[in-house]
Amino acid sequence: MTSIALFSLLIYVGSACAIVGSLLILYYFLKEVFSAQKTTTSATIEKR
Amino acid sequence: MQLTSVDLTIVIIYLCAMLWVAVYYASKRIGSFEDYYLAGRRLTLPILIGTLISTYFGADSFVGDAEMGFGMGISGFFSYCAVAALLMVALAYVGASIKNRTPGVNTPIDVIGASYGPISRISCAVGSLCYVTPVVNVMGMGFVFKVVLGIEFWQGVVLGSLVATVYTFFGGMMAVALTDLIQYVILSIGVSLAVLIPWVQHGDRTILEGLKAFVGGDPSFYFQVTGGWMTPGLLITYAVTALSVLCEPTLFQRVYAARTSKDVRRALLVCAFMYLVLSYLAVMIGVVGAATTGLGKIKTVASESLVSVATNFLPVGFVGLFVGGFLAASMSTVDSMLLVAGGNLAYDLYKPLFKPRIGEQELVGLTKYGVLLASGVAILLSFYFGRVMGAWVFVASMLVNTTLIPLYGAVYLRRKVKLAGEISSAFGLVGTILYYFLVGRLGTFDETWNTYIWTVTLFGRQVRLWHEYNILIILPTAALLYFIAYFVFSRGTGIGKEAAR
Repeated sequence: MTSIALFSLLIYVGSACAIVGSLLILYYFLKEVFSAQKTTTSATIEKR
Repeated sequence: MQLTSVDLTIVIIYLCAMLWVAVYYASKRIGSFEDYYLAGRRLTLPILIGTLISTYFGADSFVGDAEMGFGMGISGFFSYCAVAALLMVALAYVGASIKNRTPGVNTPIDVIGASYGPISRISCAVGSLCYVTPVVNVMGMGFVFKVVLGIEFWQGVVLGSLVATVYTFFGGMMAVALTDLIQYVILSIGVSLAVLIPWVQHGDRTILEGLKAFVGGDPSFYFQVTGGWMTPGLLITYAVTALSVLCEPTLFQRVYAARTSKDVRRALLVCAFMYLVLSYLAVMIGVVGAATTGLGKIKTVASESLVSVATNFLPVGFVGLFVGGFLAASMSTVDSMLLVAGGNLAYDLYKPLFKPRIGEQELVGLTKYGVLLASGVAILLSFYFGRVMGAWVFVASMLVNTTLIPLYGAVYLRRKVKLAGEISSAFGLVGTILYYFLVGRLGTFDETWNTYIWTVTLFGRQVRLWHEYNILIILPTAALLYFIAYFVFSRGTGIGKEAAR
């Protein structure tokens, strides 16, 4: 029973890591894309 | 099984999003082979992590882990996944160092070809090509479409392959990496919910009772690391097979596509952890499948436990997400493998052997045709392969036995001895095929272990040679031949800038 409780706990921790981790990575990717876009836009405006 | 309209809508949105990426990249002009095959070496950390995980965690891992969990419990996780994750940590450091030591190189076969010449290049390219023809994952997509859309298996295979081929063909690595990132998010949510929801619904005590009823006795082996079945010999075999991580062509493609070697190291470390987490969750879906079968709530077998658990216990909407997750696992691996197969054919074989001065645009065009060819071959082979696990062990052996020793010898040993590379890679290729042929022909099929075993008498003792043991025999012999030739015929050539040329 002790070992099943441990593996059960790992399911909760693992699921949380998987979901939060993947969303965080997506967030950082989008942040990178938008900041790159912002840089391009301000460079274009400066050029004009 | 019939999907509800909500679930079906989610699956259709997912497929349309993948096709949209193809349409978007079709309008963009790709200038060079490096742009097409390595996304211009511009992959940054977040997208690198996404594409690494979703490429390595394919449908074969997903279904295989659940199957192992169903029959053997948690030991299924420790037999392969934990070892593979450890090797991925090793690759994080080795991969970053290889990227630094071989600047300008596009594929590992480039390094091998520049160090040892055409015989090694061909042997390793054939080994790699066998590995990256995505038969298993194409079969996975066919299976899912058959179950959820109620269409024929072959129609599912063609539909799934078509979507992955279209965006890989038009967008190359950039499209593959972008779709991989989206697929990684869907996959993570799908796998997590598929185990979390039924586990919370039943609770630890009921799961244990279900397992007791399922095995008809003490189910404690479900939660033991060795599970009472894993012998040291089997563990070593699995561990050696996992060496494929160290020369995996799709992982190396991402190593070379990364912006910096620091990003490579960080991304592979995160990838190792996430791979460990996803594999653990997939194994536990199998455990839930066995327990709920024991409780009489579902009726399933090991190979279908994954789909049965998801469709029986997930609420409306989440089933669509799970199906999307499964398709994502298959498709993200298929697209990466197709791209590497196209590169193997056009860049690693055709260019050096037939047209060394080929133009960039023509090379990109040929790589695209290579993608189409690999997709066609994978579809055809998927109709003929019966044993998925057997097919995987064979292709992994082909890759490791031909590529591992020459690649690491070329990068880390001071001298490059042509004969050492030639003899090692050619022996790896021929030896693997010969071993499989002999054991398959002269051995008998063992129903218990689900593999071919050839019993031979050596020095008065009976030795049982499994199909799976080929890597334990061929790889050390290839290494021995390499080092004998290395020490006997030591004469130097260089890699690095030379390889890049």
